[in-house]
Amino acid sequence: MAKPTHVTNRITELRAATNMSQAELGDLIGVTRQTVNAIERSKYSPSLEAAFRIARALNVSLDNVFQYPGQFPVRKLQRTTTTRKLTQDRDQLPPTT
Amino acid sequence: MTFQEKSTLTMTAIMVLVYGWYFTLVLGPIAGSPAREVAYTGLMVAVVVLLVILAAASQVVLAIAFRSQANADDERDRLITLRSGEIAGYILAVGVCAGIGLAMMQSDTFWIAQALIGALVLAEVSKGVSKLVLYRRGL
Repeated sequence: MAKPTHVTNRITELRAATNMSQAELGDLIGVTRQTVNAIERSKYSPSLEAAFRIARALNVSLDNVFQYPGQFPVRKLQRTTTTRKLTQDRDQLPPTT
Repeated sequence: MTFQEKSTLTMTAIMVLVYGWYFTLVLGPIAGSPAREVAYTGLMVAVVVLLVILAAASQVVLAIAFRSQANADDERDRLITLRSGEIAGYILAVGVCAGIGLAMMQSDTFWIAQALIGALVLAEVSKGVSKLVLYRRGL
């Protein structure tokens, strides 16, 4: 079964490094042990606030805990960059009479 | 399994059993009876009383058995409840439309009532089932 979320995380690894159980982490961040388990297995993406609380409880920065693999679609990125460049060029043109 | 999951599983099982019994009687012997309007009303009262008793008893037993988890409710539980409520809302809407359709066709009130009760039950059961699926599959 495909994982419902694309967000990956290192909670299991970081928790093991600090000898913290799922229940202890759950108590610290205000969720149940089962929710911590679901987050670790990428079955649930926590809210932004819970994500910050997890990072704080594990004493690391947010992007050290959570990752979002993959890249922004290149064609979309190029188009956005091209549009921005054209807009900048247009704004620098002298006013037409 | 969270407390919410256990509670949902118990309540869904109770609803399926009690309303399964109700619809077996109502769509079977009661539907053909000349006094069906009276019979189904009496049965409905019995069903509601039975549901209240079973729901209260099961929740008390669960709360005693899993005392430490009884008040546990977090953002995941709330999100799952919202999602399953959304699914149940669609099913209830379809059932209510079926009830309105029956009323427009001037059907017997007995059948309109059964369609509406059926819609309520299906919505509640689907809410429970979708909750259990979301807990297992993730969201």
